[in-house]
Amino acid sequence: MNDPNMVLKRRIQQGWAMVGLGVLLLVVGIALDALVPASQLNFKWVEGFGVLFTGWGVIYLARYSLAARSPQAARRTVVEDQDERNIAIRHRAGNTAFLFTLLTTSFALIIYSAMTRGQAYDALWLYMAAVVIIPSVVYVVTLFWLRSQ
Amino acid sequence: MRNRLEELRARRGWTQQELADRVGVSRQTVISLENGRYNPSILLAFRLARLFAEPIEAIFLYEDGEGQNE
Repeated sequence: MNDPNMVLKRRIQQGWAMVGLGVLLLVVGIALDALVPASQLNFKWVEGFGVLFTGWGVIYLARYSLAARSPQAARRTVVEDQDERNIAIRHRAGNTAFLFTLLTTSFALIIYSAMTRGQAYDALWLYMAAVVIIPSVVYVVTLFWLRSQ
Repeated sequence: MRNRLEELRARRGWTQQELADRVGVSRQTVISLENGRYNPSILLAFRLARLFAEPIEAIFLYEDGEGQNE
């Protein structure tokens, strides 16, 4: 097992980096909202990503800062993170979620295309198409790459 | 796969947490291993075998055809 203190130090650094990025995105989003008239573009999504990264970073910081307070808690936390069964469970859950997302988004794309009679290649249609195509390409490329190892 | 982990652990008087700490896994993984609900990686199997000073096949009892329909 890797040195628990080193692992925790790295995780805490990652937490701070995520909080920093989140706050930066929040500030940029708020500034863009204030500077660009709302009728032209909506920058709420930048703030949304800011909140997401900040929340993610705070969760990281809380979990790993608490664990760093005692050697035993540090060791247990790192073991929990690196435990092979936990990793296998996370991979299976991620795989299921990926397939479910792909199916639901594909279904939504088909329904949306049918409702607009294939006429609407608007932002929503393009977004959904990208959500279907890009992860599928990443999945296939990763499969080939892993099989060639 | 059946195994003798519980028996070997009990013989040494270790708790599941102590065994988990010795091989660097969570207690939940030890519980799943002992119940036969989880089959370890080859690396973990070797760590357990070294710890108990037994060959792998004396700890994990493989039967022909096991796992082929999974």
